[in-house]
Amino acid sequence: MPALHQTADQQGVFVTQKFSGGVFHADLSDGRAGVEIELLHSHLCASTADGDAFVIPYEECQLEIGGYTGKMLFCRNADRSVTLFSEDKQFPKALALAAGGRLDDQLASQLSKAKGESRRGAIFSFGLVAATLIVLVSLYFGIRAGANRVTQSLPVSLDRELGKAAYQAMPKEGSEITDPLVTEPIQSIVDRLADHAKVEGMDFELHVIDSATVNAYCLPGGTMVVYTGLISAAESPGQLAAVISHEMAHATLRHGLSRISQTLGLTAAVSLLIGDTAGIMAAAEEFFTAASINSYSRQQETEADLEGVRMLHAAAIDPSGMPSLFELLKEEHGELPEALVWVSTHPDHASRIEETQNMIDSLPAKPYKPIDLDWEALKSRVAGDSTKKADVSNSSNESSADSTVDPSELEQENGS
Amino acid sequence: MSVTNSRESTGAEPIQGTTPDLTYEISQRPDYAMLKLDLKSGDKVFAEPSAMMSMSASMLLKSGLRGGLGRSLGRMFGGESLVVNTFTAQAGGGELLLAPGTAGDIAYKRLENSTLYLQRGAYMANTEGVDLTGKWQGAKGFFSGEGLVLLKASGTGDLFFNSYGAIMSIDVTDELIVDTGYIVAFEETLQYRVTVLPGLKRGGKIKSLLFGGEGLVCQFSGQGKVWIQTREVNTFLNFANAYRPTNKS
Ligand SMILES: [Zn+2]
Repeated sequence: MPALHQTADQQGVFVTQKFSGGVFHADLSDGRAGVEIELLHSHLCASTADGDAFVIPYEECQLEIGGYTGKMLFCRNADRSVTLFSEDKQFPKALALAAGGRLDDQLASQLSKAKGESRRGAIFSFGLVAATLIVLVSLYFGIRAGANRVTQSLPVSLDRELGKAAYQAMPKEGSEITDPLVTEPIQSIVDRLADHAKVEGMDFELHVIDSATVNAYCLPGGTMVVYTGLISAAESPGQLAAVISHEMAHATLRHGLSRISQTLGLTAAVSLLIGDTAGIMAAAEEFFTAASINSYSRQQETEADLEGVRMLHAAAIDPSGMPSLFELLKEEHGELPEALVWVSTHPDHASRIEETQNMIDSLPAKPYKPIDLDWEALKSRVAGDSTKKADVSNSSNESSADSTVDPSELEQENGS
Repeated sequence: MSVTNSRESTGAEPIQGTTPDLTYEISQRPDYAMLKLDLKSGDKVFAEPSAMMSMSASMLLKSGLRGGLGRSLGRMFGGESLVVNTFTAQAGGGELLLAPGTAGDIAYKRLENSTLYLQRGAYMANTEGVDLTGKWQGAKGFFSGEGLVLLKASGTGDLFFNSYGAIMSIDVTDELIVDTGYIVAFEETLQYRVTVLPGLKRGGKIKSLLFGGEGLVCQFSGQGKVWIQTREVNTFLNFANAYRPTNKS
């Protein structure tokens, strides 16, 4: 782009080049102006469109490479009152030639500095990009961990709304039993444990469902569901109380909410925080189905076991029902029939027996008060209900009204 | 070497001027500045679409892309919308009133075969002869927290840009460090580098770099003008966000 033209000089005729650029000078309006720079015999000469001219002798030149692009060459005079600059690619080379070697050293050092600058920039950029990736990855995991913390700071009323919405949306596997001979003994266990719940303001609302399925669950906020199949399968009131305490612990430890926020991610956690729960409520209805309600993480299960033991102990109920329940499950149900939902969602009995037993051993000795219910009456009442239902649905095993439905029978019933 | 950069803080009085292309007046400064442009018949002004307040009936408004798709994309990345409005004064000339989107001041710069880099959101209007393109900043932009692309305005013509809060121009003669959030524009003769506030603790440095937070600064070196604003938009947004109405169900 440099315009080539010839000028006469005292020493004869030679070629000079013009470079477009600029000048900084205090007298100029705005402090700067655009110029055409000419490289003459002993100096640079820059002229503005208005006819102002600025001259810098080569021996005075202080060179510097810079500008936004890092490719602009600046020439200053001795007192730095005049600065000429151009970004023309040919300018540095032409200047070095015109100055006859006087500026070679300065130019070389500026060029290597500029090179170092761009290398530094590249290394800096690379380092930042790498660091960002690391942070993004750790943020992702941090968010998952953070979701738990967010959950714990939300009001319990939210759990209740979630649980109620989910319960209404869930298909019931049988009719609800209102017979006080069945519900009252269970309610008494729930009440004893509820007094020692970790979270205040949780109203435990019991529903006993007439179903051979061996299961129980507690929805967020305290909606407690016990299937008659569980009552039949349990060997003692202590084992029944153990399952109930474990399920209540899922609610008081707010595992359902953490599960939602872990699954739905930060969006859910944030929208919960700012109070926009409409989307979460909709999700909850799909989220808590009878089949998946108890699919908590292994860590949450352990937490619920230990919290269950604590609640039992606090309520003066012998917590040994917990490990003995696992023992029962371990011995009798190596294979998991479909009806034993609670077992399939609560695997790994051996370590759970050990963990709960360790906890029980570490608890201070306490006189336990027996669970005040007529166990045999409850079992036979439930068995009667189950039988009625079984009779209606199909004519499978003939179980007499006073015999208890034991798990091995269930296995046969449902294995087919 | 200690060099003091000279500052030019503009007061509250209107700024008026006549350029080869038009006559302008910036009034209501510095908080809620507006720009009045008087155009002669046939004169053209390009402006950010949301900037127009009012215009004479004699003005012809055409909205559309300018400078081809690539440039428009560049502008989009620069934080400006894809579309620029073109105002052409018809017979008898006309008046155009423009206002920026945020509360703040407006600055005028005449480009004479020179270049100005604008922070995202600062562009307001220009006359013919000024070429606008997006200038990819690479990692610099990524970590400055101010967008990946600066708007590059070059050529010969008038350029108007706006700030959040008042605007102040600083003549850099050696080096100047500015918090990234306060930069509005700077001249092409300045070398610009995003760096961490010198003196920050090591941990603070890493935090700043990665979260684009406080302590990230632009280090300008060389000679040229930098325009800075007296308020920072993100600070305001953070403040205002706390009062945002939320939907409780
Ligand atoms: Zn569980």
